[in-house]
Amino acid sequence: MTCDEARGAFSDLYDRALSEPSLTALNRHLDGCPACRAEWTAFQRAVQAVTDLGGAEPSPGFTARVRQHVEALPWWQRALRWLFLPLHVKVPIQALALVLVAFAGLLLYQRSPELRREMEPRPFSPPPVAQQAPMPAAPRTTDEAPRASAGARPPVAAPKAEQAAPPAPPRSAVGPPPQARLESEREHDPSAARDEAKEVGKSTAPPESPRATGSAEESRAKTGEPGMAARPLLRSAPAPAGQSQISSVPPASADQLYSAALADMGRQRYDPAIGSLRAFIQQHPRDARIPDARMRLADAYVALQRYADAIPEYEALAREFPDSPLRPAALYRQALARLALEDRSGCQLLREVALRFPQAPEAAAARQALSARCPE
Amino acid sequence: MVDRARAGDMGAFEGLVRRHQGRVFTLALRMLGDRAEAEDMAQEIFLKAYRGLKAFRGASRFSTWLHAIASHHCLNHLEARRRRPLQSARGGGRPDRAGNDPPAPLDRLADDAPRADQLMERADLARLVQAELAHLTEEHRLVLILRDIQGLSYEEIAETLGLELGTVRSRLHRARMEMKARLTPHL
Repeated sequence: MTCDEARGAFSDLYDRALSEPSLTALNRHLDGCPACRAEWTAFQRAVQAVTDLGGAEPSPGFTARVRQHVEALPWWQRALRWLFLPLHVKVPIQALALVLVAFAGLLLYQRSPELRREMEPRPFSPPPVAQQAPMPAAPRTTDEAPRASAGARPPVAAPKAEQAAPPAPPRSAVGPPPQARLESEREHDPSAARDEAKEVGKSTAPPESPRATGSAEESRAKTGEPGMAARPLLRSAPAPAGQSQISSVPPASADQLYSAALADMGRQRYDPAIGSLRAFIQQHPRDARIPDARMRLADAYVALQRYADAIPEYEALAREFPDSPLRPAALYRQALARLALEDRSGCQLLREVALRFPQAPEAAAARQALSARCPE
Repeated sequence: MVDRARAGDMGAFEGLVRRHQGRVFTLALRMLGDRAEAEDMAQEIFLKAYRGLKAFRGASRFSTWLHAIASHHCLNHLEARRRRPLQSARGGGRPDRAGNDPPAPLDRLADDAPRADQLMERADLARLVQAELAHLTEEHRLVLILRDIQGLSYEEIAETLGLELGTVRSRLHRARMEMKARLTPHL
């Protein structure tokens, strides 16, 4: 063992932390090395001198002064301690209390029909930009009443009309509302509807446009909705009292069907309006009001947030009537409906509207919607 | 007693203060070299301990936990003192009632040393050791105090300071060797 090694082990030797072989080797070195032995002695004395400094006590009254300090905590610190400490006890208690309050609120909500009705969404909530979008003048016929015409703009429906309309149940984005579904199932048993449609179709209904039928069937296939062709026919059948609010205008009359649809739209009764419009489109495919009817039908679906049903109608309008003045509006609203379903192809449609119809009122709205909803 | 203090029992906390005040004050005094400063420091340490008491889970001994608070508080205080060179050059004390500057730490220690003639030599040695202790780096001084004055084991020091055992061992050895070099001419 060298002198450096020996002196490097002084601390362990002092604390008796050396292993037996190391201790033996170090003792042997110290026995034969007077310099290291002197160093060891000096080391021991120095450490002992430090140890002899010993402990000390603070002045009397120290504990009382500490207590004064502790009790002099600022109010906010004491409040925080009271609220949150100890964390492992108080945080779980507070979390449990929060859960209990939420549960109580849920129970209250479920057992209180008034509260539930208050919380239900309004019957119509169109896409935000759609409200700002100008509605191109639809082709009018002489029998179109002014009030019905106002009803063609569901997004800006008057509050009075909202009050007059019965509260609508909550609806999913695609499917028909539960209440409407029930009524539909009650009123339109598919088998009965098919039978009746066959029967009446043979006698009264004109042949349907193949393209229009295909579009409607695609739409129905998506939603699982029973064939709408049966609706006007069923309407003519006697319905239980108070069950059907659909207009009693004979279905075979185009004008009456269309007027009834417009009246229902004006009253925000979108389900019967949809039935009338579909019947009108199917029974009178050559009528000049077909583009307008398709637009209104699609708008009625949008009013019910049935965007998936609205899109094929807008598509059909744009495809079947490429020269219609309604085409930019149909494309624009189709774009908004797609965006409402998180379908990004709506952005492409908006670009198309802005590029292809720069003079149309929808172009500016499309550009706005593009910047707001389709960031690059 | 720790559990009762954690639950907010001030009497229990006072008991903890009484039990540990000597060790906390000693650590502060040996680190700072000034009684008044050390006493203020000890009060702050107990205040800090009181505020952190709820977080003390008992994973270590209370004394080890308290030593950790005291050690870090002393190191922080010395760091802050280094940034105020004028004040520390005057001994770090406050003016007395007469407006005179307080005595330097060594003088204050001398005031508190035993005055009996037979103890004078020992008091002088204590003043000397304390003065030389102040020349060590703070890290070496702290380990030396914790081991040779407070009597903590290597493991306790490592836990208190959050160091590896080997680091504690090497720091302690260097501190002792430096004290040997400084004190040998006087011993």
